[in-house]
Amino acid sequence: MSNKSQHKISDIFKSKFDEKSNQDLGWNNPPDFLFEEAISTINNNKERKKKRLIFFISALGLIGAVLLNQLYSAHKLNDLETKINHLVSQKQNDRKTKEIVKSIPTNPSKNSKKEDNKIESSKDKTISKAVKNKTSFEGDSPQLISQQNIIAKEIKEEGADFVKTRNSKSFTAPNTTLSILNPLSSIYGNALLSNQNRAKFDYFKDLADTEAVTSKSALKSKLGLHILNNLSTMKMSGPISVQQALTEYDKYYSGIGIGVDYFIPVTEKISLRNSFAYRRIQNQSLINSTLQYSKANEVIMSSNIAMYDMDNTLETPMGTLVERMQLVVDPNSTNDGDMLHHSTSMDQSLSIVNFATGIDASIFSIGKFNWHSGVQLCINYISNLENTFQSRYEMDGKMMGEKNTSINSINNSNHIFGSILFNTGFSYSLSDNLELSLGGTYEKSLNSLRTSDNNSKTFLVSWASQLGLRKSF
Amino acid sequence: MQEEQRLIDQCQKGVVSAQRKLYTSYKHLWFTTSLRYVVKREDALDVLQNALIKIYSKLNTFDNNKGSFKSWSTRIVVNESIMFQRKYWNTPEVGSGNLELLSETVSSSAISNLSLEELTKMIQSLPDGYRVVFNLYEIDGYSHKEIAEKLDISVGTSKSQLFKAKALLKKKLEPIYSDDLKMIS
Repeated sequence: MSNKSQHKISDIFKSKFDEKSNQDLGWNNPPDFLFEEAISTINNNKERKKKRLIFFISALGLIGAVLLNQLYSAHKLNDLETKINHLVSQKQNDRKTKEIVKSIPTNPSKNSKKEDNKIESSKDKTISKAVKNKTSFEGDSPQLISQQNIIAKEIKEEGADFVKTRNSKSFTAPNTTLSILNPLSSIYGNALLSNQNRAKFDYFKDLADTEAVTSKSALKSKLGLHILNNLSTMKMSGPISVQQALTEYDKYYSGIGIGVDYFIPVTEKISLRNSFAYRRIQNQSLINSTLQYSKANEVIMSSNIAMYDMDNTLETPMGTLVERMQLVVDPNSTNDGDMLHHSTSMDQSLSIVNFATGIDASIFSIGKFNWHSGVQLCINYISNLENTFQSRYEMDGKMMGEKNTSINSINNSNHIFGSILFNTGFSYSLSDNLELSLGGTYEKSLNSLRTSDNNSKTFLVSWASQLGLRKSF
Repeated sequence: MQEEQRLIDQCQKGVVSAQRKLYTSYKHLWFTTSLRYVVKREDALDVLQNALIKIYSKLNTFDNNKGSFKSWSTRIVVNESIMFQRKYWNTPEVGSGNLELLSETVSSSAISNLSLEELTKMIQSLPDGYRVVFNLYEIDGYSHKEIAEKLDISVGTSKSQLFKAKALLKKKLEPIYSDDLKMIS
């Protein structure tokens, strides 16, 4: 044996494995269920990832809403503190000025001093009454009445300014009303308050109390839960495919959902509305096409039986599906180019997780009813898309095969899309902090849910009614 | 190649029929590879299933400019096989001796009659450590440095296990083809 016929063991193994590893030698043929199980595991893992993502985003959204509320409350408290400090310093300056004026030396006679004290005492009592009753008394001297009027006017103007400022800045919160008054009380305690100032203080207190009651309900955060019933349709910008006819998709189909709303008051009439909702949207469509028969797809089983094995691509409003069809045919009666008519009845069910933020305005109130409207921008995530369809294949008027299929995934579909949502409705106060709401919404997607090869875009349009409960806190 | 790339593109888009076709094209190669590393058929099937999950999950990361799909997917099967094997294997002691005295050559007429199944069984009969190093170096083309890193052993251990593996294979060939086998040195 010559040296040329000698080979390294490694070369022999390598060349043999390289050459024959991919050949079907029987013993190296793994079963097909391995593939099916692997794909099923991948799909399950994707579902789990989706659920984790939804949970994460929901948690993030809730934390964000709570933080936003905290920031807003902190901002309100800051405003309030500034206002209190301003008022306190103003009043302290007033007091100092009065003390300075008092400390200017005068030489009044004893009699006149007594008279002054008497007048002062009488004036204080009258002013207090006048402020309280907003009237003068008969018998008051013209000088005193004039003084009363000036003081009453001053109080009224200052009080009105105070309320106006507070309304415009909307910093009065029910829980903080007392915090305005308590520092004032402590500073202008009985010992320090002159009768005039006490009268002013009482007037402010009355106004603040009234203000607090009227704005109490308007400036509370609200948490709401609602159920919804929607009527949705798909709008398309053009024919989905040149090979297939798609119909029925543009009718309205109903679905249900549930959602949570969180209202953060901005002013008495306007709130920031953050919502999280889960809903199901239904759509049905009919797909018709004519396919050319190809003998190349035939697998001959016997002399007069063949299996026609084909993948049929279905263009749906939500994406592309591939249906594997196996038809039993007579190979002697089929020819290349024969027309194979196909029709599919498609049911698609979308599960959508929706995060929305926007404003909600109170338009008017009658008794316990309040009419409100708002607009929100939404981010929608299609968490699941179920496709159930029945296909039927015919050739020369003869039914060749029928198949029911259910697939939970789809190709060429956008799983995330934005939308704008308009809402309006009534709420009815059941108690101080509980209300029932009933309203309607209109929603339109801002970007397409899919774009077909034919450049046709699918948009979602949805009308919904909402019924819910809201609790103030 | 273009046809394969089209198939991979479809798989990346999630077309199940394309994924099935890809499986049909490569299933024998992948299973033979896992059988070279893992002795029991059932274990090799487990390894293949785990490898399939990784191949189809990571298909989006495959870049044909960096190498062929065949070598990319085979590497995944090899890695899965090693991961499985590492749970059980027992690294044999590195023996001392005149390693360079043994020849690595045999006559081609003896080998040409061996089937792939017989060669696979021969590899499977090697001790765990020898088998893995022989497969990695001689058939799958890894360097000793790569093997050392992959198996957490020294380069010297890798070299000596390879040598011992070859010596054992040669011994196993001797009784079957004693007439044809010829030692060069």
